[in-house]
Amino acid sequence: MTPIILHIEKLAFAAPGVEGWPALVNRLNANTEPYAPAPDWSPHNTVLSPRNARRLSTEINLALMVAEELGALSDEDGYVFASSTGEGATLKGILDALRTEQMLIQPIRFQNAVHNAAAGQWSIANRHQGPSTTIAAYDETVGAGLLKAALQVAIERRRVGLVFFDAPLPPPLDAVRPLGLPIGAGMVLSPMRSAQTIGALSLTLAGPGETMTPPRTGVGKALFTCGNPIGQILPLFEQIAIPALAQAPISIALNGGSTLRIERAAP
Amino acid sequence: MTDKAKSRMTAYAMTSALGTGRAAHLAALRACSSGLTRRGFPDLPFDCPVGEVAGLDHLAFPAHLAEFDNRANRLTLAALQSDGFEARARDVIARCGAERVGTVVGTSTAGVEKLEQVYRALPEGAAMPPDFDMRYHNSHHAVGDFLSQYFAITGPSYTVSTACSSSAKALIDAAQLIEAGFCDAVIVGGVDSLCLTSLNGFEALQLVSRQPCRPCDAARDGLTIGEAAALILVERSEGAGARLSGYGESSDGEHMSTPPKDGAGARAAMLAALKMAGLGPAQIDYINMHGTATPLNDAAECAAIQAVFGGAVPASSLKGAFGHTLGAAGALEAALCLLAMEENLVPGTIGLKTVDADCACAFAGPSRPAPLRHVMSNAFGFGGNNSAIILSQ
Repeated sequence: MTPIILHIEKLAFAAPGVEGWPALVNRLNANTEPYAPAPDWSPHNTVLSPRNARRLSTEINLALMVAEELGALSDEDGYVFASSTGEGATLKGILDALRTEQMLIQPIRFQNAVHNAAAGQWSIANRHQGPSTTIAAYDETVGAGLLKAALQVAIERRRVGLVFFDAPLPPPLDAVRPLGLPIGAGMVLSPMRSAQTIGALSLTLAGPGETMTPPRTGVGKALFTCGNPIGQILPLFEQIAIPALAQAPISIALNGGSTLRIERAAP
Repeated sequence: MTDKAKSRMTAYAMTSALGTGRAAHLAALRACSSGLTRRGFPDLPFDCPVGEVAGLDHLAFPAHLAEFDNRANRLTLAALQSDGFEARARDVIARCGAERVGTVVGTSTAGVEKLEQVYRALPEGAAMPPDFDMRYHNSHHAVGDFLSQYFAITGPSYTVSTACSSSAKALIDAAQLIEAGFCDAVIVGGVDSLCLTSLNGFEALQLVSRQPCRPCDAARDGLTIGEAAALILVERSEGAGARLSGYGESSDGEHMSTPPKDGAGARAAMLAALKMAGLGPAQIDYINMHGTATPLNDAAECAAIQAVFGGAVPASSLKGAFGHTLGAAGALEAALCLLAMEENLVPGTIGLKTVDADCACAFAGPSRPAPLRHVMSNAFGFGGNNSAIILSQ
């Protein structure tokens, strides 16, 4: 297959104690202290009103924190939201309601239980009326998100805002799907070079049997191995963030068994 | 894209409240008959019709995939074992190679019905049973994962979950995966089972009708929830056969569960699909409406259809036959559009008696014969997520 070239225009990141892409760049380059996540960290954004931010889930707030750092895109541009587990806290609230005789679910909870709740809230907050999709692929959600964004960039020839997010489930669900730490990550990818281009990637499909590229830094390893599948973006983000790193192809697993191979390309 | 589409839809299969397979669905489309029943759902605290698939408990679930056993995957199994779909898919896999065949499933709740059962049975404050694995049930990807393993294929696999537009969008993904060279064939699924979450959730929004739903009827008062699985095999081919000739996606950007009155987002999706297909409105022979039978949704969709097509193209909703199958609706109704095209049949709106003045676009029926070359199918979901696809032959 012909490689797909993706021009990166913007990057975003959010995890406990690492708020924003510049903060991640600093942490990855310093690579001196062990990563000790702040236990009471919660994501925040200025997209939602304070009231809405309180009413809506941690997961939605996390996704919107990332989308806000990417900046608002136009209606010609598309969005791909990717999350393995989506609205876990809202799911738990609904399951608790289903344990009662009347099974009364709060309307706001139900309409924000869908996997695309964060994407919907983002489009409402920004009046974005362009295409938007939300996908999932269990532990291989990062690969799937990059793949879907690449399809949209290459075939529809449009700029795409790619937003990854997953946050730990509340107990007792967390025991059967431990996600470790909340992690959000984002990229704006474009089919064409522009004044905003900060780098480029070349993306191809590799068959089964490839191993995932491991992270290189302490922070990268901590986030990669914490249980949150969004941590799989770290090896790619390390290569973009640390100029001194050797530029080798990065393999990211796809669900099903094959692999995405991503190389830095000349922008 | 009309003349340069790189893929064709070569097989399909479905199960819904109408039954399993092509013959049951064709008979109902011809007769405008409904499979909705008043059977209800276990433990549901209110009474309403549902679109239930009968007999799922009696299916023999493959032993080596027993961990995937839940209602959504049983629906999938029922569909794939009908109308020769499995044999056709296995032929294609043998020809293309397991690495070159992917799966894209559209679903809103996947196996959450199983999680509901397990969670409701837990003693207060108890831990989840350690053998319950979210991967096989609650993960949104539980059905896609099942399909990949059932067919032992290793091509890219992921799930689109944008509420009720999910599996219409999965067809877009399949066409793109083939066009970009990631796959030579894709098994597309649209699957959602009845579950307490969906039934009680729509009830909370006061959208569940106490009668079998009546899309576009003056007396419509809400939707009927149904369950379904539909599978569509998409193959790399530029030859004869049905193709996805255009698609359009948009966001309302207004409200999580209510469209704007003028259906602006739906209109934008339909116009984008026509533009991609290189077709004018008059070239569309039939519009398969999303048509959920809620008062606001049908009126907004008809306003959008009126704005794009000016009332010149017959439009109908099929949800009176099997209910709103949520994330399965897009693929199920696309499969029924393929069936209608093969049979040259314009299906009427099932359950519609008196056309509402706000829904003048709706074709009440009876179903009538007419050649169908280009058909549009709409699917809209929570979050203001809209899609329109055009199928052509």
